[in-house]
Amino acid sequence: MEQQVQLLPLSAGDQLWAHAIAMETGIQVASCYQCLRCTNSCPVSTFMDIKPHQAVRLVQFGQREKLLESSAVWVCLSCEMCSTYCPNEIDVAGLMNHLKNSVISSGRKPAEKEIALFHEIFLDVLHKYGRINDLQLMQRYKWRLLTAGNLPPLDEVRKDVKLGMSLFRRKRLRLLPERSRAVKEIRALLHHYGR
Amino acid sequence: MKYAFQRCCTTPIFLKQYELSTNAVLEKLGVEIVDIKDMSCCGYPLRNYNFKAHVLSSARNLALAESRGLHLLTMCNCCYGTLKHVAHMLQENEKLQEEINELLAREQLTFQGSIQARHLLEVLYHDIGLETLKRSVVRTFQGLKIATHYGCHLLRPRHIIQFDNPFSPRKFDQLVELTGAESINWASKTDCCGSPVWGINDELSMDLTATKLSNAKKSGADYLCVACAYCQLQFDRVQQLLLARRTAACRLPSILYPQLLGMSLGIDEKVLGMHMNQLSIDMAEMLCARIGTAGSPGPCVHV
Ligand code: SF4
Ligand code: SF4
Repeated sequence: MEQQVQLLPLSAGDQLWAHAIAMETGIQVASCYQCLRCTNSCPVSTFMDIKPHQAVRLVQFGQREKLLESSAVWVCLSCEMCSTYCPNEIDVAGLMNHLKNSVISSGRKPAEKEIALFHEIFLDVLHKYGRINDLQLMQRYKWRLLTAGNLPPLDEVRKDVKLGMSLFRRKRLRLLPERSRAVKEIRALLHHYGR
Repeated sequence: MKYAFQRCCTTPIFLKQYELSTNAVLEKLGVEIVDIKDMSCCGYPLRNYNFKAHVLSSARNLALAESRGLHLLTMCNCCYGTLKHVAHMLQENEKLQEEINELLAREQLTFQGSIQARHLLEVLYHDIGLETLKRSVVRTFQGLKIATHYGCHLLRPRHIIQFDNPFSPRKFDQLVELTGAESINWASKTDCCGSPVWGINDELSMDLTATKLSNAKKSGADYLCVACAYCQLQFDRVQQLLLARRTAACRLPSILYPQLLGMSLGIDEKVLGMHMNQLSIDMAEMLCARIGTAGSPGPCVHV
């Protein structure tokens, strides 16, 4: 069933949005003729509140707020099916990515807060070690979820512990994070972009 | 042949066998790899968060390889896709390249675009070549049915990656077939494995994986074969969880391509880290012909 998206009145700033995106990313939403190939090829479009083709449409109409508040951009897998199938070579996956970046840089609370949290911690770990350590990442992530009052069910915790033990026995879990030799340089470079 | 090596962040911790088997196969084939210790994460996870920082991260690794005049070899699809994407963007966008190079200059580095990021499969297929590989094969897997799993960033976006046809790819299948195994046709071979939402929306991630597993199984596969760190984690680690959590889940172990090729080249399975896979793979069954009565392995075939 096609979901109806209700349009809000346009402001002058909104109208310039599609143009700004084109300038910044080269993505020309104007050439979209709503054929729905992007949405039909998307493996998770059924789980999205705003479908890929609707996202493109909303950019055409300058509906910035609606998009930045949607959970769809966070459900997106970045699998690039949409961009590959689009007959007009519109980089829909790139657009989704750009939207994620816009949510973060505008200081908004992402619709899926756990997702943003995940990315944020990912960056923290990278900042500290120059490379990512999955154990650290998962630990911090689960810890932050816990402290935010999201208690996982007990048997889930038990299963995680069991998995951890089995990984450890198979020497698949390193307890010390791997560091890049250039962690200072990496930190300095990330710092340049506001981290 | 010599390459700089982009190490994936995930492999040293969760997938040591991917590095072990890759090293063993490349060594056997006379390929030298240089591990540049100053390299960092490829920037893939950053792209959802801070576009420029992700570009910088990749550009820095590319520049490090470039400073040594070496192409950059990676075995992870996410690293590969990111490095290629960033190299493409920098070459297309002069302003972006200037901005990034200004930052890289602090470390006396510069991106000029003289080297490329290469995926392990690309190196095997194009740089070494199918014929050379075939000549090196000492053991074959007759009658074994393998479902190849390409992974998103080995195929898409098509104008940047250009490794194979994104709609009906063949190169990975050919690489599997040179080991004597049969590469089966299955419907969701080019779909996403579900890994990007693991840890974010576990149920959705497991649903995507479960659908793929049952699809491959129904198409007659004995094993999955992958060439991406995240795909393997999904099909090995997450599948194990799936089997524990869901009653109706079907079991289909996944093997890393360098493990499969390595066995075919006569490398010891210990060296290939076969025992480190979470879902164990029956070696005897893999190596032996399964033609004849179903379930009973036939004689091993040596070429
Ligand atoms: S596939 Fe391309 S042209 Fe078709 S609806 Fe999607 S973005 Fe528009
Ligand atoms: S990149 Fe995102 S929107 Fe595009 S097909 Fe994949 S999941 Fe759907």
